[in-house]
Amino acid sequence: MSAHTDPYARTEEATHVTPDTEFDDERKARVKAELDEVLDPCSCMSDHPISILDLGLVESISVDDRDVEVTLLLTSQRCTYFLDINDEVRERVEALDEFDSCEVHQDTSGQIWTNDRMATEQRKARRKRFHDQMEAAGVTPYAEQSD
Amino acid sequence: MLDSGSLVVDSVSHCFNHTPENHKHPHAQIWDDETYELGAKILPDGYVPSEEVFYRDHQPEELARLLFLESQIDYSVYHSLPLDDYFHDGYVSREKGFEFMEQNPERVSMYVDVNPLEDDAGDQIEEFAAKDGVEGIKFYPARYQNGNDLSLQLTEDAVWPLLQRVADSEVDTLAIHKFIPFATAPVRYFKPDDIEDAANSFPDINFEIIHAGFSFVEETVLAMASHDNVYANLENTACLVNTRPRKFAKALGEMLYWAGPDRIVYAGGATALHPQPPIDGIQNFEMPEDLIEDYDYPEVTQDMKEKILGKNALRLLDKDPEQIKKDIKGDKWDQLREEREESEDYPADPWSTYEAESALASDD
Repeated sequence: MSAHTDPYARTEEATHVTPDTEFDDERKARVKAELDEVLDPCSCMSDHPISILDLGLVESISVDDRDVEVTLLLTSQRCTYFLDINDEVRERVEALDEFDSCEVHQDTSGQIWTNDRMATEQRKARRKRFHDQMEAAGVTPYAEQSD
Repeated sequence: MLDSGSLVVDSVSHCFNHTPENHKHPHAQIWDDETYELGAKILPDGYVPSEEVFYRDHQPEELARLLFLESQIDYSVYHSLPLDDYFHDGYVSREKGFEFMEQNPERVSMYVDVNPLEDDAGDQIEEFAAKDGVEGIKFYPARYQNGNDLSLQLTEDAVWPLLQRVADSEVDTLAIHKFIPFATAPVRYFKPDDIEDAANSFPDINFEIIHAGFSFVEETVLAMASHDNVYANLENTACLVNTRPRKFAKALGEMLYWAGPDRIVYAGGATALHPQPPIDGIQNFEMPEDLIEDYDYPEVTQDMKEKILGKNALRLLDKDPEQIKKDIKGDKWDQLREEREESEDYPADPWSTYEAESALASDD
């Protein structure tokens, strides 16, 4: 059934930072690696924790000499966990030898997070879990039921 | 009414009170502003109300004109809201709902809000459910109380026993706000995960999930496909048919593919939103070819559209469409519509039935 494919998979090239994003500046790559260690607090309450990088929250990473700025697009503009995420990002990045400071900003440009920002592998795994749950529930899709 | 003669049923209307006098909490102004901004984002051009129209204590008579003269809606379900942590009257008062129903008994039903944390919540459910015209109870998934955001998932100890009270009452439906987070409550409160357990344990209650398709689509269709008593209410989501059509198409496509067309209901979301654009949008909607090709989504037929725009809701309300047609024929609104049709003024221009110097938001 072709619906096994994922309608929420990304179809256009990402403009935000994903696990596949490559940087000419190796220091940015190291920041990215640290962001991949920061777990989204909400997901930690589910069975499937996911990093803020895999979730597609990282809008940009900029490095100016020994200072770093990370901009995040949150799933909700009023996410109450922003402070926790901010603290962990700063702690991890400022622990790297090449940086003195790290600032975390929230993207307030008006764009909204959508689930096609998630990392491709995470989306695939999520869709597979969805189909497994449907199968476990014994669901035959309405569109495939005979009259 | 659609051109085919099929009734249009609006599964959520409200009389909001957006006046400063109604604010009880510092965040109340933010609620008002975000509600306005949401409308500005998801309504098409020409349908965003002026601030003069929006920021008022909307009255039942205004709501009736909006629904019955400015749109094709024939029948509406008024939902009162239990947000009395933030607003003195709960934001959408019960009193105005009963008044609206009294003024339009053949055209309005009501779902009454109940706060599960009140000591007599179970008795309130029983009492309200016994009232004429009340067809459902409305819950919210979170409350703000004494400085804390409290989760009120259906599966929690404070809420679960009340589901039995609903099952024992004279209504068959429990509506739950989900998917659109508000105030400072964590996003996880707005996932529909609790619906499955509730729908499984209380098969005689219809669980109507409000704002379905806005987010958590996969979780929603899982609940719908595995439980016949779970309904998707498209309040706000329906507006995306015009302003974010791909998102709407995927949400509707997933619902139709997995759960079929019989448990999806249109809602206009007045007075926060203008209810006519999504009616037009759904009538004109065609599932994009590539989504049919890639994901097996079905074509959206006229029959499906009539179900979504009215027939499903009437079945949920246990109302006979032919009886409703007889009941409303020749009533005040029917007469006013006919008069306006003669002068080619039906549906009336957006927000034009409100008393205001300017009906629409400026283009700035």
